[in-house]
Amino acid sequence: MSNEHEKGTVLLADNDPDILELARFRIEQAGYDVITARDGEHALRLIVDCEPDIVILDVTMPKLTGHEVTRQVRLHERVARTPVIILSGSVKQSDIGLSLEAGANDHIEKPFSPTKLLERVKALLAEHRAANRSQQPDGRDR
Amino acid sequence: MGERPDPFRREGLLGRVAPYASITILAAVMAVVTVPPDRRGWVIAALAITSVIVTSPWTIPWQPLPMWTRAIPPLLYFFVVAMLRESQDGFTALVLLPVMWLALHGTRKEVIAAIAGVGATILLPYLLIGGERYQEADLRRLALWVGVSAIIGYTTENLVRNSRRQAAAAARHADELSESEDRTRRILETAQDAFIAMDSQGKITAWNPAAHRIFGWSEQEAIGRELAEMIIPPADRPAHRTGLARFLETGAGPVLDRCVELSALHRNGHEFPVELTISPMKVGDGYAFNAFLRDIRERKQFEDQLAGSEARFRTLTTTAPVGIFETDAAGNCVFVNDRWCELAGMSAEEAHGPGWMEAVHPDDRRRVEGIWRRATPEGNVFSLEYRFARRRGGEVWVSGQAIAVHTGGAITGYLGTVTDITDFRRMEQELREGRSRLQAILDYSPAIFFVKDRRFRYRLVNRRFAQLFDISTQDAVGKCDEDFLDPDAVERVRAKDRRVLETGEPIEHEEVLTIRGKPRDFLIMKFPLLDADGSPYAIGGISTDITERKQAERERGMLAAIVEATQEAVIGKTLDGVVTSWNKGAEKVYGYSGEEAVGRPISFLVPPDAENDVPELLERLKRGETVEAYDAVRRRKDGVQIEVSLSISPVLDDAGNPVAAAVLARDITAHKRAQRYFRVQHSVSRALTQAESVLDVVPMVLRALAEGMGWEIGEFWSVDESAHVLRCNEIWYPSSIDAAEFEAMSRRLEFKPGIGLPGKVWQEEKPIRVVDLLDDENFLPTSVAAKHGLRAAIGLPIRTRDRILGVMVFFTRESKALDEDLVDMMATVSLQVGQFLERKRAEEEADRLKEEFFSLVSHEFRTPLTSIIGYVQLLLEEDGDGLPRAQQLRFLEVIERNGGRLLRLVNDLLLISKVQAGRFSLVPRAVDMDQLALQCVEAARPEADAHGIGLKLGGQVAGPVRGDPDRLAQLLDNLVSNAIKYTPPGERVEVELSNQQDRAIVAVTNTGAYIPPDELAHLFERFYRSSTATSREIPGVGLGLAIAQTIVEAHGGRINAKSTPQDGTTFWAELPREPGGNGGSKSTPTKEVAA
Repeated sequence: MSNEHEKGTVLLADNDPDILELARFRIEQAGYDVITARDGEHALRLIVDCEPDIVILDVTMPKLTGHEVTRQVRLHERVARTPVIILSGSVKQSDIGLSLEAGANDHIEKPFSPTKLLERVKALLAEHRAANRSQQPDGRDR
Repeated sequence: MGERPDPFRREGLLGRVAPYASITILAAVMAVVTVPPDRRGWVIAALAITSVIVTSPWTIPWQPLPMWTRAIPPLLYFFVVAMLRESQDGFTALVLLPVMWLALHGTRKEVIAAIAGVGATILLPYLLIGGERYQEADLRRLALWVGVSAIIGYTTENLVRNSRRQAAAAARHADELSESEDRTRRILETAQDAFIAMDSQGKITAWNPAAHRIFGWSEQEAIGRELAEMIIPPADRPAHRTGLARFLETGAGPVLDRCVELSALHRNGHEFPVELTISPMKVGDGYAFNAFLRDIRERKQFEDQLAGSEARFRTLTTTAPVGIFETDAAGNCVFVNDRWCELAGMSAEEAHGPGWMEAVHPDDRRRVEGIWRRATPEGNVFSLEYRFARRRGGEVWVSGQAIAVHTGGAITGYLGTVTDITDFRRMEQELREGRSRLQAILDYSPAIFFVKDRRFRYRLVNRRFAQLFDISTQDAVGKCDEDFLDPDAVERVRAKDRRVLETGEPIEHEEVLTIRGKPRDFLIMKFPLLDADGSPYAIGGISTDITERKQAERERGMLAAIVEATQEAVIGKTLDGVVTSWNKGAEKVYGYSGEEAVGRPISFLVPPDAENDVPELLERLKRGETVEAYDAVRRRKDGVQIEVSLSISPVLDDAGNPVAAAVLARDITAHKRAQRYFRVQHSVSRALTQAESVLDVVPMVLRALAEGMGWEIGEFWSVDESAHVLRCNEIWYPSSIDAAEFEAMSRRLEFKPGIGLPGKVWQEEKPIRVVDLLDDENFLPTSVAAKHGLRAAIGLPIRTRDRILGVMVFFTRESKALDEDLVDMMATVSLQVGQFLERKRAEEEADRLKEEFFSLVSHEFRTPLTSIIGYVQLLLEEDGDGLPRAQQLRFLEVIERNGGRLLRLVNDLLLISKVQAGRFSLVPRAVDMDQLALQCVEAARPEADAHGIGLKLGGQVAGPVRGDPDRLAQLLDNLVSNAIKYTPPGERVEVELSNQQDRAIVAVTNTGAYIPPDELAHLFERFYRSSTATSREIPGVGLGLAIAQTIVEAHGGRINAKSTPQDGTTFWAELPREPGGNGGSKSTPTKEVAA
């Protein structure tokens, strides 16, 4: 139960299909459900519609950047607390700052190790769930 | 002898010739007689010649000789004859000699007598005796006859002549006697004195009319009466009678033959004085007496008058202003008057006798005596100037005259006068000194002095004149101008001389005269010398050589001309600063005319609000210092302040003391302004070079301009392009000013174009000056400006070539003269700033682009690398778990594809860097484009498939293309991959090969992608990314098309693009085919390569 409970839905968004496939392969392999998007708008719609447990966004995407999507997510009541990991091809320090400012929980630079990405997803989810439990024990029990 | 006429001087030819002819004839006859016949011819010839020679009246040598010499020839003759003949003949000749002599020197009558005598003596015996019987003895007798008869004849004639002469004398004597008696009687009758004759009894025998007149008795009444009764007063009668009786007894009388005065009695009984001279005359045995009496009543009267006159003379002498003295004949003083005593310093008593000589000055005494001695015997007037040496000291010069006093023919004394001529002597001395002084003055005068007479001859010249013409002063006299000057000059000088003589007025003129070949200037004053009538008799002239002065004048004139011509102000002033001269330059610099400036203190040029530096400058001048290049602020007449550079020199007198000052002033306002502008521009330039960014530069420029130009507040209003307003985003003012409120206001304001000063500048795009803000409606916050006392402002557009970036506005409290230069300078600065801003922005943009590029490049590398590394990691990790083979292959394909992508990217970058470095080159050969396109499409197919894009190759090229196969492959790759990248999934990419004339055309079309025309133009620029690329986050660095174009153009081809929303976008490259080849023949080798 706890295992199943621990698994969840991951939204992956990147305009490069190879990278999208790479991440999806590893995360699905770990037992998560993965939904993917090729641009920012698509990603945001999926987030709102599907309410994934965690969101992984590339920064440079058509239509909406990863940062913009994050900002929108944070403004959206239902999904505002969804953990967001930003993938960035840039190495500029300002990008990390922008990511955090936009409300992302983590920032991973490309190229990244798929295994490491999976570990961060697991950690963030755990953290997120732990936080949810501590905040809403009664509500969930009721 | 002397009284006798010279026979050779007788008049008439006959008179002259006759004596000689007679002698000759006589001599010839004598020769005939005495010389024997056989010798006669010679003798007669010699005689004739001698006679002719000797007696010729024209024989000049004889004329001055004594008369007796004329006797020599006859004597000689006879001597010769005597020698020739017997002694008797000599005797005869000797006897004849006196006859000859007589004949020669007698009167005419005597000569005739002698000739007649001789002739008779010779001829008579001859005639009487007859020729035949004529003997020598007879001849001797004849000669004796001749001599005797001549002597007799002569004697007779003399006797006759003497007796006649005596008879004539007796007759004349008788005549004279009767005349004498008559005369005596007439004398007695007409005499003034009475003549009375009486006999020894005293009875009157003669009584002349004068006696009648004097005594009143007539001749008839007086004759026969006793003299004593008639005219002797009764008292004297006895004495008369006894005196007469005694004379008759003794023959002596006291009154006889003497002139005695006694009283006489007139007929009317009056007695009166007479002068009587009585002389006795013996007549027979008795005596008669002749008496002359003269009435001397008038003389007596005269004598009485004389006595009175002498008294008057005495009075006169005592009171006369001249000294008078009188001496006796021996020179002893008998009288001196008071004046004499006064002059001589000696009393009359002391002068008496020889003492007066003591008064004469010892040095003059000898002279006085000498003259005296010489003058007195001759009775001349003694006249001498001499001195009295006064006893009480002092000398007196006197002029003395003395004249002998004659009484009855003898000198009885001398009368003299002395006149004090001390003053005269002094005047004379002064006159003499004055004359020599005048001479000295004339001689030593630097002027040339001369006097010319009416005929223009020099009568007097001074030494200077003489030196000038190299002549002595004496020699110059009598010369005229012709002797000294050339004809032209003479004419000019003469004209002036004439005018002086004609008008009688002096004239002064300048003349250039050539002296010793050199022209010299003279100032000549000519004046007439007037005689007593006031008419000019001569011309006086004073001439001064003013050559040096004229030269100096000319030089001064030249200097003055330079001073007048110079653009700089040249001002003369006293040491107290009063302007004495003012040239044209000064008028130009200061605007005041000479009339306005001269006489005013120089400090009037100092602006009222500036520090007066004139007193200090004057102090320095008084110390003799020279002030050089001193910069001062002065005010022009129009009130504008100017900056001048002053050079002031003291004018020194001969002793080196400053007496005045010369000021040279140059208007350096423009120069200074230019300097200031240069400094400002320099500081602006420095600010621009030092500024790190656009943000830094504006405050620095504001400060540099405000400080440099003396503005108090500077603002920069930048253009907000989006809002189309001006906003103040920089303001500068010195910390000494409290302009916080002003700043706050400015920062709050926004100006639209045309509003306010900044808006106006923005709109008009040119500098705008506001001389007085309070009067300017454009300046809105008037109250704030007034509060800060801001008066003038200037607004400058900060612009690039094509647009306004902002506006600078400066404010000041002074009312500034905003000259054109200032505006120009500020405009230059603003353009400089604008260009700088533009450049900075461009640089910053370039930096940004570069950063973006690197970011893009980094991204473009990371994306394929992410795939490569990620999949490799997956493969490595999952190796043990045994991934399905198909999965592994798929992973490996992904890795390969991304590797290729990386390689392409690296190639692109390399190519671009080569192009940039100028090292891009082709290795051309024939390339089979069909083959190449096929390879490219196949290589791109996985990518197209991955994106769900259809990829199709069509058409064919007619022949091989001349080119570099690697580059052409890169071209195709770029075009195809670019097309795939921009093509949405489901759309398609078509590669079409075709031909157009000798070119191969490769066209790549992708559907579903539209590029607007404005972007289409930029597509081939490096790093340009279309809006599609950026909005869709399509990866890429914007190099693909730029590289494609570079390659195509390197092959001599062209690349183009077109885009429509319906058909999508097509890029096509035209490439030149291999020349001379066609499709069939050339395709074979290409295919081989491809295979």
